[in-house]
Amino acid sequence: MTARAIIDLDAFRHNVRVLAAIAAPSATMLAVKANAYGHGMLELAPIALESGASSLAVLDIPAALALREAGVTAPLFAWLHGLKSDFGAAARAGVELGVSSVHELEAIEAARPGHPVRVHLKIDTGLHRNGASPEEWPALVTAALAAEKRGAVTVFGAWSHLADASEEEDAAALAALHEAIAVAEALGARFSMVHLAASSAGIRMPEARLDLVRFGIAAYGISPFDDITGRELGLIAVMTLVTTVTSVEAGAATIGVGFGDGLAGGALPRAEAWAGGARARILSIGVDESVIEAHNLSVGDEVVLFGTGDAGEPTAEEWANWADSIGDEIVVRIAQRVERVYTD
Amino acid sequence: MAGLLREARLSAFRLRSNLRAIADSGASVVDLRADAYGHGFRRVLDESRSFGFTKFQVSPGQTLPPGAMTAPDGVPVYEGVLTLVGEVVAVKALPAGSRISYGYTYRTVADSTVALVGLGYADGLPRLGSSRATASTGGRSGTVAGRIAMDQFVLDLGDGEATVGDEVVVWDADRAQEWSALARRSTLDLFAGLGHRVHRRWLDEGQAST
Ligand SMILES: Cc1ncc(COP(=O)(O)O)c(C=O)c1O
Repeated sequence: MTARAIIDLDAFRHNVRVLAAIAAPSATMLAVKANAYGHGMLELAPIALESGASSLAVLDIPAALALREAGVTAPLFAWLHGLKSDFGAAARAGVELGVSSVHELEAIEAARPGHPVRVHLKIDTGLHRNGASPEEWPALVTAALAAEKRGAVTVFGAWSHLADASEEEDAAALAALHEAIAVAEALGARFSMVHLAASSAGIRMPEARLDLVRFGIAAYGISPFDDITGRELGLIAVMTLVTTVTSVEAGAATIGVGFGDGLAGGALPRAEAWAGGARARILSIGVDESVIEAHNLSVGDEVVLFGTGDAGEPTAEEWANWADSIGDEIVVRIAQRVERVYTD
Repeated sequence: MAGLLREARLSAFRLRSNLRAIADSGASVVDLRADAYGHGFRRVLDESRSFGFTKFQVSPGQTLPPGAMTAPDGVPVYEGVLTLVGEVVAVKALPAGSRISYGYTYRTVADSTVALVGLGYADGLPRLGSSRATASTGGRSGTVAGRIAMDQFVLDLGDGEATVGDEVVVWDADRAQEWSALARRSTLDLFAGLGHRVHRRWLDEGQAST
């Protein structure tokens, strides 16, 4: 049998409920970008909305449109746009847009939306990815207010994203956001929704929760911190990657999973699997198959690459340590060819 | 659906010259595993068959048409075929000492132009390339500034320039080697890991793409 990713919907439900309770009274927006971190966006989006999230963060417009097509009516937030991004389609689908620059505002208006598009203006509070610099910010706010007067947009939100560098750095970023809002208010803006925190600050920095927390990785049961596991935070890993033994030799077994399935080769030589009730060292990772050190295994036996850790199997967090990475990369890289099996 | 540019450009010319070279070397099996290592099983199969190949190494789930058969020990034919291209989403002029991306692990050494590029580890860029790997835009090379995120990374262009919408070449024949070394993964592993958001586009250029 080839590799399968078992997606535990109950675990996801549990995590979203736990996180929404932590955030309350702030609202919860759930990040389902990158195909719900590899778990399946169309399958998980409705469950997030039933379990305490009131909106979804999708990254880009095509993902938002796919959700609308699947019948999702909740607020959707998209913030990474290219030169060819289809703002007209986003407007028709009622997608809320993160806006970082005057040129993006102009592109939205040029798409002749027909009705005002809700925009969330982004200030760069130190991460230096997207967002207006403090110098550019007044011009962005002024342009947005002018576009609002013309009926092209509704200035709805103000937001930023944290670097998760240290408590002090994140506090400085929060202060920078508050400062930017004061500047915008002096220019006449009134924001209905101010947001900053993702998983990390959503859990550990109450003052950053503001109107809304955009939870991502924690909802998939993986810790956003390196000093505590998801399990220790009361979360349950949602994805379990399993396969079976395809052949056995003296002291070793070949298993049906490889780098073609997105298994992280960088985790060698430390990587382990769970087979026959024990940890087994992974000796090599090939395209479709890998070899583990094992005794007493038979063809067809189940092998778990990572999961909740409850039975003793490795977690995605352990894989991340072995591969000098983070759990996010371990799960999101699981290839499309790996069948997702949803269990309740 | 029009969205961000995330494109793997595939050179039919390079693939054909690779196929010709392995046919001349006497090899008879083409390795098509892992969706032809991210290049696209169907197209590589068709091109190979037009060079007379009938034996292929395949992954479970890949089915061959009548007349073609499976065989072990296939030769990968992907050297220099794929170029990964992204798009500049934002450009910033930052003073020396600016810290960039998660954890603020990177500092600009001089006043710098930085470009935000819409590709990340969900698209298959190994996060191990953070602060070390390079990419180029407008013929100018830059360094990945700080941690690569799931959907984006920042490129430090030093005293270079960039404009929103500019194309950024992340992997070409040389850079794929560089990224692969940093990631402790073969280039085939790198290509097989290209994400589903990356659009594959074959160029029938009749000459090598650069
Ligand atoms: C703007 C934004 N908000 C929220 C998130 C979710 O972050 P996390 O997965 O750390 O919770 C992300 C993901 O990186 C993001 O880019």
